[in-house]
This record gives sequence, C-alpha cells and structure tokens, in this order.
Amino acid sequence: MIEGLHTTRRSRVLVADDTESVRSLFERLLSTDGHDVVIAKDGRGALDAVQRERPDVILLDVEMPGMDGLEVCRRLKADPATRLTPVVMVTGQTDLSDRIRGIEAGADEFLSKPVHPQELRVRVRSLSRVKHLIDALDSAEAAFVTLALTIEARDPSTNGHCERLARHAVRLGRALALGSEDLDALHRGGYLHDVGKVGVPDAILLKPGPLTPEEFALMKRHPEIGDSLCAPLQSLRRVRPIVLCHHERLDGSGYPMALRGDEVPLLAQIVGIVDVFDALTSERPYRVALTDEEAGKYLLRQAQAGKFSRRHVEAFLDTIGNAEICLAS
Amino acid sequence: MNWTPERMLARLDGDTELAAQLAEIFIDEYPRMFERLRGAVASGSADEVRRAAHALKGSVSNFVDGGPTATAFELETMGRNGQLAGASAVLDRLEREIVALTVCLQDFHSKGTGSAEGS
Repeated sequence: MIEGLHTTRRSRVLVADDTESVRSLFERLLSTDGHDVVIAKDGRGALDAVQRERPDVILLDVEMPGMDGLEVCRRLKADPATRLTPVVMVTGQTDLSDRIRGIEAGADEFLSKPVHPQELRVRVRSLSRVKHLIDALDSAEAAFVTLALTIEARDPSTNGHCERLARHAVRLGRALALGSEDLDALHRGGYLHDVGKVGVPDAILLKPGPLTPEEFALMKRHPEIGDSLCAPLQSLRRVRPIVLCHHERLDGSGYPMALRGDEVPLLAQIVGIVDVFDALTSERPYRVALTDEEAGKYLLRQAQAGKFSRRHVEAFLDTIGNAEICLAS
Repeated sequence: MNWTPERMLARLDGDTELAAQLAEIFIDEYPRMFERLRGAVASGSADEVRRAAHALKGSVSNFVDGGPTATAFELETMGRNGQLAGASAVLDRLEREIVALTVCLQDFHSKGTGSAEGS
C-alpha cells in the first residue's frame, strides 16, 4: 500500500499576506485545525519560505508589496519542484479580474475575503489530502527510478547509461521542438526505459558473449515487464510508451510488437536512437567503445535501412556536435 | 454601521479569544494602514490608493460587512478607475467609521465577549 493514500499526516501551510490581522486569523484557524503554519509578509518572503519549508498548501494574498501573489504563483507553477503544490489565491469578494489573472497564473483554488473559517479549513484540508496523494505517487515513482538505477548497477558496464540517455533524449526532443510534457516524459523515460530488466536473470543480463535464441527471447520480454510495472501509476502514463516500445523499429524488425512506421510512438523512437548510440559508445566486456563519429555513422546506416527516421538521427547528431557526419555520409 | 459582537463572532466561528486577538491587532495596525491611504489620496496616486484601500478593506472585513468595509472598497474602486475626485470626502467618512468600529472593538476587547452594540 502506498503510504499517504489512506492515512492523514500533519500538513504544513504557508500563509503569505502583508496584513497582520489576516495572517493572525489564518494562523489561528489553521493551527487549531492541526496544521503547522508558516508565515510570510510579502512575495519574496513567500518564495523563500517555500524553498525553506516545503509547504503542502500555499495561501497567497493577491496584493502584496514588491512581488504580488500572482507573480509568486506564476513562479511556483513554473518550477518543477513546486508546480504540484496547491496554491490558493486569497482575493476580495468582488475582484473578478484578480480571479481571472489567478487562473492564468496557475492558482488551484480561490478564497474570498472575508474568509469564512469553515470554508478555509475545509479547503485547506481537501488540498492537503491532494498534496499527500501527489507525494505518495512521487514516492512510488522515485522508488521506480531507484529500481531502474539498481538494475543498471547490476551491470557495471552500463554505469551512467540511464542518466546519459535521459540527457540525450531531452536534447533530441528539444531539437525536434517537442513540448514540455514530452520533454519531461523523455527525461523520466531515460531513467525508466529498462526497468523491466528486473525480470531478466543475471545470467542473461550479464552474459559476456552473445545470447542463445532462448536467452534472447527472455531478454526481449523486458519492455512488456516494464510496461506492466508502470501501468498502475497514472503519473507514468506518458512514459509507458517509451518503456514498451523503445526497441521497436520503423521497418517492423523491432520488438515486442513489431510495430511499423508511425505505429512506433515518437518518444519511443527518440529513446530508441539515443539508446543505441549510448550502447555503442560505451565499453562492453566483449568490445571496445565506438567513437561518437563511428556510432553516428552506424545510426545513419540504420536510418538508411529504414530502422530509424533519418531526420531524427540527423537532428540527434547535430545536438552532439556531429553534424559533419551527416554531410559526409 | 452594522457591527455587533454576535455578528463578529459568527464570522469567526464563535472564537472569542481569536476575536479579541484580532481586535487588538487591528487597533494597533489600522493607524499605519490609514496613514498610508491618506498619503496616497493626498499625493493623487490612484494605484497606491487602490492598494492601500484594498489592504485596509481586508483587515476591517474581519469584523464587519458594510460600513468601513464598504467605504474602503469605494476608495479601492476609485483608485482602480483612476478617479480620485471626491476621494478626500470618502476618506473622511472612512476615518469616522473606523474610529466608531475601534471604539466598539476596544469595548469588546476590554470586556471579553462584551455586549457593546455598534452604532
């Protein structure tokens, strides 16, 4: 059972308001409801307090000296470390324009002044539960990444592979002008793509020589094992196609489903390219590492043979400063 | 003004201690907030009038719906619209209303739950 889904824990709530009586009111109401309350008197103070205290719920007054609540909210929602922390904008009852600007800034909820005590408590309780669920899922995902790195550590020759893959995949994604959600999926997919290797015995995973057909059949099961491991986590829904399809090839020669052309998800195509590149440029017990240039030429030949998109391969080689290979080939 | 201790307590979940604490803070903080608003009106800075009136409205609205809360909102709206003609008169009215409220709050604060009726 994931901790946090069925249990309640004490929440930390940040109250940011430049008016002392409002701060005192909120502090009193929330602390008597069992929350730890952190106080900030202005926008800058609110950002500092978020960094320092990592609150579960943030209450922001719109009007604050220096940096207003809307700007604080925008910054929090732009930062991957805080974007999932619920933000409540506290506005005047009649300030429709503040609400509209609050929605644009990414606020999750609104409270009108004067705040009714019961409404404040119920809103904060409800958002705390949401945050605890998010934290629980984050923990589950962190456990998956740890598992993936543990698998990587089983094979000393693949040291650092996941991290490099995540980096290369994001670079290529950026070169292809993908959006932030896709780039995020590529980053996580870089770490998790081989998580299914947890189901592959050491004798096969670490075998120094070529695999027998039976061994290879077992090895080829890792994308489906990984996909079924990731399936229960809603937060990994964009990563699953990478885990399942990163060994598929455009000409239908890949596995596990022998998909062809556009059937191979774009993010999986990207991870497939950078996965091969990283494998070739890393030393193995049975061969030395290829240079970037040699690996690039290999990828171009594979693209020529219809396994990868030539455009994607060229874009990738461009990102690692090997564009001249494309021109030479 | 429609202030009564009962109405105020109803807004604060019946928490007498909290009401007394807020009354004390308000009596201490409103002169600074009011002076900021007075300065903004005097200088003709509409945006600062809006901000200062908004802050005062947020503070006073813990105690009462109409009266000074409504008047502070009136000044906030004048500031938002950039129309400060007549703002001094509204400011004077707001001052009278706040003084009346603080008398009630002081009475409430000194008597605990108190029985002071607003004017």
